[in-house]
Amino acid sequence: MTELIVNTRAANTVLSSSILGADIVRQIGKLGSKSSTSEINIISTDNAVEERLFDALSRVKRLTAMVAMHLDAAWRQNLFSQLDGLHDPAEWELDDEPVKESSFATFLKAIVEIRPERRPGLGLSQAGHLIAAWTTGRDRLTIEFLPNDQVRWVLSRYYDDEPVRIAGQMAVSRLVEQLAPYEPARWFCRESKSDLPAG
Amino acid sequence: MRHVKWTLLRKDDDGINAIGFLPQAFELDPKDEYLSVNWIEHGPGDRVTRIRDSVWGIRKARPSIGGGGKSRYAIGNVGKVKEVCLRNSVRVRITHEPEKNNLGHSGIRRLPREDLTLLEALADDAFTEMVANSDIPLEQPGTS
Repeated sequence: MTELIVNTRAANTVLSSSILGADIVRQIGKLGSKSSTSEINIISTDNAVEERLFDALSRVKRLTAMVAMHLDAAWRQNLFSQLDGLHDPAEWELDDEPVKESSFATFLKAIVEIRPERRPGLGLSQAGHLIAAWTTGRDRLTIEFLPNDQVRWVLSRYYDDEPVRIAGQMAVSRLVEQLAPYEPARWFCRESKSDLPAG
Repeated sequence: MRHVKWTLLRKDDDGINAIGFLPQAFELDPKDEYLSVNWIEHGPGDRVTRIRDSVWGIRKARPSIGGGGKSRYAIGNVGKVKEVCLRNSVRVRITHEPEKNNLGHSGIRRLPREDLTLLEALADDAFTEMVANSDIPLEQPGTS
């Protein structure tokens, strides 16, 4: 037996065309509009878990296709592979929440704006928000992508072996400017990858 | 010790290797009063045995974890957890909350909700040891 719960949220896209090109803004603006007006959470019995995860993945992969031209093929392939890994039915618990489209739309907006050379390691919050993490040596940057273009982030930067930790929450359009004082190139650029801890 | 699912592990650039824990791994669920952990020293034996017994206790309490998979256990020292919280102006209380099948079950109380800086400090500074769930064998009947 399958039970459906449907939540409806108003779309609220905040992006500046002065930061992004008008065409990109138009395309990204379309992202999440469907999801935010008809976000569907499916509470199902055990045998419907795979179907639920498949549906969630299909929705976010379709969103990705809309901005595919801004992501290189390897980046996109790795993104899909990580998303699949996060939604592995073998590790899924009934109270887990698959990635929300509205969170994923915020993620895509951030990625198109930041254009990081280094791919983040991805995670998923209990509420279904995508999390992206970059690690360079002991320095860590973690961004959680919330619905309605909001991001919640925290960083640890070490100066002379002493950590400085800063956290914030804001519109995705302000993320680049807010991270600027902490030299985000150390996380986003390939040449900063040195010293990554062993897995 | 706290069980951390694959979704809440910090991964490398390729997303293949777990290299630590995301701050959200230590975030209180809205329905929880305290952060659920296991007190490793509760049982007898050497450290390896105690870790194994703690994992077995957690698996009994949450059978869905099973014996394989990609999840990990985060291990943190109680003193360090308290120290890290205190540095962030939070005085936590760690209480023993034994469950029927998991006698070492404990809780970290008074953790504020949504304090991402503190959660990051716990992930980076306090819970620094990682054990793979797949490295701990399944409990054989009559072992404990």
